[in-house]
Amino acid sequence: MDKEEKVTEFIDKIRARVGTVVVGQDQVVERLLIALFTSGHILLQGMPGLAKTLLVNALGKAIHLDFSRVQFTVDLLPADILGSEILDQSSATFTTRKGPVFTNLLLADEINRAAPKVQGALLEAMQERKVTLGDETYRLPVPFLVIATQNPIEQSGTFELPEAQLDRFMLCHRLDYPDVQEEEEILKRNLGLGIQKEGQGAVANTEFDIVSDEPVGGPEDLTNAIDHTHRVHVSEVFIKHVVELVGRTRTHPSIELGGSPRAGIALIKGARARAMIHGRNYAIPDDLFALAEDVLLHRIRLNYEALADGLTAANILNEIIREMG
Amino acid sequence: MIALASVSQGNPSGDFQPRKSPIGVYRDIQDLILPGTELEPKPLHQNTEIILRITAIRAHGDSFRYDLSYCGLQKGEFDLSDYLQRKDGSSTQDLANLPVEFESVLEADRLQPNMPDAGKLPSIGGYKNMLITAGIIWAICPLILLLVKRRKNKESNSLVSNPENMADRLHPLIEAARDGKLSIAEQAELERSLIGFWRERLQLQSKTPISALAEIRQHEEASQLFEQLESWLHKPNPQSPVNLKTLLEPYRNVTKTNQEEH
Repeated sequence: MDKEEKVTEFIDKIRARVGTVVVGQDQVVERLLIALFTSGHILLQGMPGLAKTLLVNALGKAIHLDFSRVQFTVDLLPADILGSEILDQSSATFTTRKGPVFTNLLLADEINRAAPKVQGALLEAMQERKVTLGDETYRLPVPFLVIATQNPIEQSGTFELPEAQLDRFMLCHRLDYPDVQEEEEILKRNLGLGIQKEGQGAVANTEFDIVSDEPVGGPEDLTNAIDHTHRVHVSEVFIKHVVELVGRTRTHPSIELGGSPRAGIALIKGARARAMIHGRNYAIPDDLFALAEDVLLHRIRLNYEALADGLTAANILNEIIREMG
Repeated sequence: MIALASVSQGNPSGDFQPRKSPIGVYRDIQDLILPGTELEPKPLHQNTEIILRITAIRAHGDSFRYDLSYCGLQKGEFDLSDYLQRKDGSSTQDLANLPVEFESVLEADRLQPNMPDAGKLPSIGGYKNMLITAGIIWAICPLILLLVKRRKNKESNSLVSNPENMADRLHPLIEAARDGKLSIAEQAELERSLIGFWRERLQLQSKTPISALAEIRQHEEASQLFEQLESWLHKPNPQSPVNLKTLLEPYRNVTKTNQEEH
């Protein structure tokens, strides 16, 4: 089996593993893999109860990687994520206690529930991939991927992430409710979860209990996939498409803030990973169109006239893509 | 100028100074001390030369202190004491002279007053109508601004959208591609234009770009075209060279009419 076949098998196994606990959501699994293979960070946005946490949990266990989960709350402090120095009274010296950020896969659950200074601390670590505790600077493990989830900003008790911080996320994927068949399947699977007996007591199983701890691949499989992603060819014509698309978001009359150069980089990186996942060694316009919403929508800010007219960023982006062709 | 010894005023000099004033203009005298019992103005008659009023009376030892206000109706010199009488009816012979002089601004034979100066014409319709007009303008101005802005937006939108139809855009690109004269940017534009062409042809304008592209790839003729385009524009090492003349031949003579007929 050559390396390319190994990568394909690795991806199929991950999809199958996640599929055992999460129904549907093929697109979000693909986006998670894109983020993983391009060392980008991903923000999952959706209403509560769409299996965001379960999905990431299943992915973390499928690949043999360190996995941490932090539930963001309003009283969380930067030290709760990054770590801190603790005074050891017996030796009268400070010892470093590393926080949950020192991991391969960090699930920042409901990131928009934390105060801005906590969000800022995490996003700085995401950008620089290192953390300073006291006088020491520590590099974060490789690979390091943040998968953040957030509820829609209209919900009460949330702090909206500012544009500059949203730009740090390579992808922002919006999860939809499952369709009727998928929802029926979810309910049927839930009926068969069973119970867990321990001693004389028993408790009903949840989906988290049935996620297998057996990994389907290790760090070498992931490294192989990352290596293959970097070898995907991006033509000059494809780069022209990307520049045209990002440029149009900056000059559209309804858009106040368009895509940054980082958005263009994210489109190219994402397109490479998507091409690799789809078994190609070159990127095509389909990759660009498929990822445009996830890469650009969270980076675009509409002006007041557009908002007053009831337009949405997704409408405008689709209009821009149609005008390109 | 006569200094009055028996009359004193509450000013530092203590003297009553005779004063000149125009006819019809009121003048005041404050704190004038006059000896004797309390005084009052004589009743006015039809031909009176002076209108005299006592505005305040205050006791001042055995005498009284008066505030007077007077106005001349005829030109000439007069004595204010002639227009005062005692309340108890006793004589006013002991009063000193209180001389005043009135001057006329007009000539002696002038009977009619000057014509008033020409002022500004009143606003048309008056103040109320002016406010209503201002209110209407205030309400209309934002509407006009909004309409102008919308018109500008429409114009800029139409600039953003393609100025010509798909057939017009495709023709020069296809001819240049067949001649091998396309730049990288034009190659990208050709690919996007062909995607747009097929989207219109299969009437997929209402679909999202990715789902429209997926449907285009299901179409037999379109899928062959885009496979060849991929090979030409995106594949790093295509297995066989793409014959652009053959590939693009069906799109050479596409016009707006026959595009719609499809």
